[in-house]
Parts: sequence; C-alpha cells; structure tokens
Amino acid sequence: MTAETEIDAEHLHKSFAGSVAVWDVSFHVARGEVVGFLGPNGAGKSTTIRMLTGVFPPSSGRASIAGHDVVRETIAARSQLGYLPERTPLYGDMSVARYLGFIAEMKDLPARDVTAAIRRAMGAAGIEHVAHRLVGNLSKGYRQRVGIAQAILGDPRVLILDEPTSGLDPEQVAEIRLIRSLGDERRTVILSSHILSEVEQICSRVIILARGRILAVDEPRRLEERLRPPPRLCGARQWPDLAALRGVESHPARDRLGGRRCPAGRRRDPESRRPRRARPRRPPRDRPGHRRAWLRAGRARSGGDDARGDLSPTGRRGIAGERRVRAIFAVTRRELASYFGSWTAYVLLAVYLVLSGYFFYSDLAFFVTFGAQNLATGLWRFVFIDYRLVTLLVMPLVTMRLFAEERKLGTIELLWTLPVRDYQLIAGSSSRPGSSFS
Amino acid sequence: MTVALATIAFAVLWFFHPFELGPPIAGLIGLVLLGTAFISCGLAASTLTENQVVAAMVTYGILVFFWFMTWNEAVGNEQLIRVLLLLSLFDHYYNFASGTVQTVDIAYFAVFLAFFLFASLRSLQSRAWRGIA
Repeated sequence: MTAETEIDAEHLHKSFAGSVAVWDVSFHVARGEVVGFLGPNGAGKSTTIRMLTGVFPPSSGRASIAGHDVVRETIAARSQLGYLPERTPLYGDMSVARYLGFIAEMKDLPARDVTAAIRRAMGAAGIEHVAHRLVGNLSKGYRQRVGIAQAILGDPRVLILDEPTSGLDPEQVAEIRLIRSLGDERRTVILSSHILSEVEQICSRVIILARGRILAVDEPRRLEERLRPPPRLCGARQWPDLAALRGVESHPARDRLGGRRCPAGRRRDPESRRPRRARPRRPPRDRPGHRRAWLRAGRARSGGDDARGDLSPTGRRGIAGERRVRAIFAVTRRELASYFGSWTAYVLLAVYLVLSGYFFYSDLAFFVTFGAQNLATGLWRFVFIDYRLVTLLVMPLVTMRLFAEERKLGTIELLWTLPVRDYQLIAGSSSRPGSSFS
Repeated sequence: MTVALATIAFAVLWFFHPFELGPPIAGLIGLVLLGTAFISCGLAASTLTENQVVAAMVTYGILVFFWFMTWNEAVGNEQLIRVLLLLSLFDHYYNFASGTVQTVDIAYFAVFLAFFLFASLRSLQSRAWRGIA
C-alpha cells in the first residue's frame, strides 16, 4: 500500500451459509481516482462494496478506507466514507432538508457547520429548489440526487456508489454528469454498474467482476480496444468477450479462471484447454476471530475511532460520550417525526383512547356498583390491573415499525455504514415508544 | 404518556385525600418495567423481518405466551408450575401492582429486558453471516 492509496483491498473472501459470494478480490485505488466495478447481476459487486463500507466483515482478507481497517477501526473508516446503496435509502415522509439534517447528525458533523454543509451538498447535487419538498413526492431522478447529496454530505474522502444509475432513464444525462463531477483530487470514488458505456463515461479505471472474482483491471479505453470483435449479446446486456480480455493487465484471480464461461453463461472461451475451476471446492470459512473483531469494534472505542484532533483522554471520553448521545437522540427524533408524520400514530391514539375509555368506564361502574373503599381503589384498579391489557394490546402496534420499517425502506443499509454503532441504533429506536409510553 | 397521566391522577387525588404514597409508587415502577419489557420484545421482533404485521404478530405471540403460561395450572405438576411462575411476566408484575417491590421481580425484568435487547443486537449483527436479504 502506497501513501497515496485510499482504498486497499487484499484477498477479500465472503461466503454466506456455504455459498461463495466473493473470492480472492484484491485491488488498490489511489487518491483522486474514479474506479468502476463492472459486472453482471450476482457478480459480487455489492458484496465487495458492503465489505468495504463495513456493512459486514469479510470472511477473510483485509480492507482499509483512508488508512483505517474496515474491521478493526470500522467507525473511523466509516467516518471517511460517503455511501449510496443500491436501493436509494430515503425516508419518504421527511423533507429533503430535514433528511440531510438527520444524516448530518448521524455523521456527527459539528453543529455550527451543518447548515453550510447541507447547502453545499444540495448545491453540488442540484436540489436546492426542492429542499422543502417531501422526499416521497420527488421523481426517481431527484431521489437519486438526494441520495447522492447525503453521500457527499460532510465532504468524505471516499465515495462509494452502488449502481447509482440503476432505474434511471438512459436520457438522464444530468445524473451521469453529476456523478462524473464528484471525483476530484481530494475525493476517491468507487461506483458499480452493469452497463459498460456508463462506466466508460465516468471512470478512469474499471475492475471487471464475474462470479465473485476479478476478471480484469484496466482503463476503459484499453478494455474497449481489446473487445474485438464487437461485444456479443449475452442475455439482455452487452458483455465483453472474455477471450478478448486475455492480454489485459494480469491478475492472479483472472489467471486462475482459465477458460471459464462468459459471465452470462452463454459460451465458453474456445481457445482455452485448461480445466475450469469455477468454484472452490470448499468455500472459505470465516476466519477465527475475524467476525469477533468486527463485533468488538462495534462495541468498544478503538484508538482510531476518534478523529477529532489530539485531546486529553478525558476530553476524548467527553466527546465520545457526546457523540453517542447525539446519534441516539437523532434516531429518536427521526422516529418520532416519522411516526407522527403518518396516519398510523393517530389511528393508534384512537385505539388507545377507546380501550382506555372502556376500561375506565367499567372500573367506574365497578366503583359505583360495589362501592370500593375510596376513589383511589378504583383508580388503582384502572391503572395497575386493567391498564396493562391496554399496554399489551397497543405496544406491539407501536414497536412493529422500528427496524421492520428501516429494512423495508432499505435505509438500514445506510445506517449500518454511518459512523454509529448498532447499540446506538437500538437505543435510539427503543426510546421512541419509550418516550410515548412514559 | 401513560405513566405521566397516572402520576398526575394520583397526585391530584393525594392532594385532596392524602394516602400512603409507597404502594402507588411501587405500582408505577412496575408499570414502567412492564412497558419497557414490552418495548424490548417488540424491538427484537421488528429486527427479524421487514414486514410490520409479522413483527406485531411475533410480539403478540411472545407476550401472550408469557401471560398465558401459568393459566392452566391443573395440567402441570407442582414443580413445573413453580418454574412457570418464575418465568411468567405478569405474575412478577402482580407483586408491583399489589404495592410491593421485590428484588426478584426487578431482577426478572432486568433479565427479560437484557435478553431481548441482546437478541436485537445479535439480530442486527447477523448480517455478518446472513447477508442482507
């Protein structure tokens, strides 16, 4: 790894329940480069990206972002990162400005810089004029721009965009131009796509992935030169002829592949006579201690986690504590705003009032009929005996949204890549029903 | 909101007709612990699925199980009932509701809460081996 290397991946493997998703992926990205991951669906692009962003740890191998190990210093690595997942992670019930404000808090931007940072991000993404509109009412192109704005919020050193153009019309050149403008000498960008022409327009270097392995790494122009005869259609998408990539920059993974099938599985390389090793016989098992280190990094504060200058240990502890509380409150506020922004809360409030009223009425009748000792007895019966039933009936309806909603919206993936820990998400989410209960 | 309203109601009543404050305070502590236990259970259920209805049903299932488990006392033998009473959520709450605070009940709620919060955390972290569905 050189001093200029901003993203460093070495022998990344990932397997899920015995099936290999990524196999021995290694690459380096220098500062200021714009690199594209190109490959068909299921090639391992998103899995590789998720390992880099710290969503989950690699089964083995290592990766670092801006010099921070993504497993052992996951919070420090995430604080240098802007990420746009494949499913644009938006809360439809928030305005654009409020959404970006929430992300700024989660990224722990200094309070005095938040307004300017949001304005800068909106300016770069061209969404100032929709700042006060609800995200849910925006068009697909604008939603994608909002997603890009949250990624560049706070000027991260590394920007990772997973299929940023998917779902957009081919004519949406504005978005392509926007993505192209994101890379500069200070910012390193990785983006993934399955469309060669897009990657050619945007990236200075392309990494081609298929079936979890790297097939080739080169400049798009040189890749194009080698794609002779013109690319054949494999399925619905254009794919390079792998035989034409033979002379492309050598890579151990590519060398091992030999005469494997083309990514879409339509034909084999006719020149190759070597036996095909499509899959390792035994998928890599999670390295002992690797996952433990990732879990531990999510709990304890590692040395590189505090990126706010050299303070005394007491000062650092204070700031770290403040950061934790700030993220928890940000999640709680968002949950509350989201809850009362929809009709669900009002329906639940009505159910709550009806049930409470019914029990109160029946307890009052009990008091009148049987003559309880005093009013306190009647109140006692209502609050401590019957009220638990109201709580039992209403509380699951309140808590059912929490993480289920985040999973449904796809925002959970973004939350997992922000510099906050899982327990902060849990504390923030549980505070919302807690605050309405107490 | 529940606890705040109950506290205000008791405070107003106490202002006009003073009564011993210990039992209602014990009851309120019990109510808070019970609500917190419900929330932790619901939170754990919501981490399991992206379907809100499924999350609500799982929560109802778990809570109703902890409520009903000691209802059919005639079937189980004495030792089984003793164990079930130790596990029953509402039997521990009844002690608070009758105005007593016992360490065993507080410990029960603390363990209940810790278990479901830990389950939530583990469920979120299961993406390490399960991936993102």
